[in-house]
Amino acid sequence: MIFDLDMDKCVACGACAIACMDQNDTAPEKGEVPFRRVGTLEPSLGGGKFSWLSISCMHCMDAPCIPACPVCCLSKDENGLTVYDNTLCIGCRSCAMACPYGAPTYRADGRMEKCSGCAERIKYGYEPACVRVCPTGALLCLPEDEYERVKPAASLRDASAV
Amino acid sequence: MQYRFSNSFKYGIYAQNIPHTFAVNIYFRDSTCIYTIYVLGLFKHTNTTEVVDIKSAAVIGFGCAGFSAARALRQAEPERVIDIYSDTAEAPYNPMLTTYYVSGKIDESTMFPLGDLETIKKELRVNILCGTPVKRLRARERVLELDGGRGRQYDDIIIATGAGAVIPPIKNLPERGIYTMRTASDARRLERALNGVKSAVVVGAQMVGIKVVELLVKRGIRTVLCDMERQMFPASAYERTAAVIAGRLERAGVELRLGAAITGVSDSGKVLSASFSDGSETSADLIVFCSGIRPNIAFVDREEIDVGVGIKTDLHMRASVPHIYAAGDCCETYSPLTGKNAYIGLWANSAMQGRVAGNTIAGVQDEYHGNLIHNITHYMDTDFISVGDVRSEGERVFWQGHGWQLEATVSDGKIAALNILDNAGVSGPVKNALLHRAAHPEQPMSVHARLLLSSAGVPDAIIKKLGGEGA
Repeated sequence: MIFDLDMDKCVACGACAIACMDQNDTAPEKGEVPFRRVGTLEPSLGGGKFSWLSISCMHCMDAPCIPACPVCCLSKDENGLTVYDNTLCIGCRSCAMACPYGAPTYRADGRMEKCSGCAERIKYGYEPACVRVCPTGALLCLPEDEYERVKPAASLRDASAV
Repeated sequence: MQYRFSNSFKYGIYAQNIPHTFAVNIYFRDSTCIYTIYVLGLFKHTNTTEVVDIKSAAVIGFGCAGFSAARALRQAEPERVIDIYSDTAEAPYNPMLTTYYVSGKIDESTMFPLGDLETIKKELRVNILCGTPVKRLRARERVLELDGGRGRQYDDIIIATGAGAVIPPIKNLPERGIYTMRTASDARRLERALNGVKSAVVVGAQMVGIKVVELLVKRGIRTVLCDMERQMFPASAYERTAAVIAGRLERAGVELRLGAAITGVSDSGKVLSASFSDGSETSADLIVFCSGIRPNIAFVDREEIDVGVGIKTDLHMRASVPHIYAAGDCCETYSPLTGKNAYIGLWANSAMQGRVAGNTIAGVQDEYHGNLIHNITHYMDTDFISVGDVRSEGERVFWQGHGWQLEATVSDGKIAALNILDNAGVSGPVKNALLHRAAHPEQPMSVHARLLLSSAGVPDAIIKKLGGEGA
């Protein structure tokens, strides 16, 4: 599956972030950090134009967080999503240092959590929660061949290639 | 080139063409016994009932890099003979996890995240020759010399011997109470020794030393941390950031002896006494040396292979001699920020370098993109991050806010190196922004990195310098 954001369609409304918190039972009042962040960039920082963004794990094909984890908590599932089992997580922050998108977050007990692409929903044929609620169709999560057919011109994936 | 003569043999018999010599290797796939018979003179082989082109590779050392190389090679070449030489009988362990084991955060088996030896052996279908150190590498001949003068030739050789802990040269170091922290064996030894310990000296105020300090303090052990340099993290922190770190450690009860090299250790039989270059002394039940690492490459002939700090490699992990490769903590390779080779010992680098070496041998297109010098450590509720060479020249920039701080060197209007204290979340976007700028200087910094840094409170001017727009 390919995750992407069509930056021409995003209006930074935050519906995706709320859906993500709901899906993952994120409790900010307990210090838990939401997996998806939404915001805008002023033209002075956005290359001369105003930008609207929604950012979370992009489920990179060659995900740098996977080899960075010293205890092998992170892996790819059968759909290409970057998933994790934090049972053995030691909270060393190596995955945070590897990730260009700032996706890993840490619970109060030090263990890492991140967007798993709603892997369980996808297994049962549903869209990820953030994609499902996006009112403008800016967020995409599609199989590779389908994605290539509808790939947006203002792709965050392309713009943020590292 | 090697030929397998017949499948009727229970074990494999291989022959190698060497000029004016014919070598027959009798090869027991599931044992460590290897016999090589060299037949001198011109030899013209005939009458092979079944000739199968089969190649061989040796992996010297079995850590993350060696494992990753063997795995990539096996995936690409199901028939390749792969022999792995290890001086221990251990599965690949992660040196970084040793302190986590001693602290009790993980159990012993977790130090071996790639699995146990038997499983690896079966899954990768490799021959693991445990307790078989390579004494010498004749690189141009592609021959490994083993104990007793035995030699073995391979088509390709990957050096993945990692690095070992260094103890500074101190005369008459006692036989008891002295520890290092690098290998799984080091970890077990220290863990066994800690019961009843009341006081300890840690030598080396770097990434390993700080984790040893953390576990000692957690156990209520009086801890002295010393370093010959006058600040914490002397290789990776600016003085100002280091001073903040030092203040926190002292408030946590750690006795700091910075600018004080350990010069001697004596043993009364009950307690050790360490003396320092500033004239001070302290007693301790044990001393842990965390004073750095050095590549394990004593078996390499520097007349044959180019060596800097480690074995010099290119982006395909090729050493300077054909068919010889190196990966992991024993090698140095390209750093895109400087355009020069750098020695960057990290688990993730080892994994990627090993993969590239294995793929390159198999003819699979793969390239190591290089990396920056960078470190992240999480200890005692502190996150310390360093990216780039903090000793590089330039203007110093400092920013503090939102519960964290950033200090950086700006050279030609661009950030060349930086420290972050207490915000691991921005470390990835920052490091990758610098990598991206080095690889694509013509491109602007990505919008997502700008947004993440901006929302973390970083001023626009600093973000622009990270992206190289201040030039």
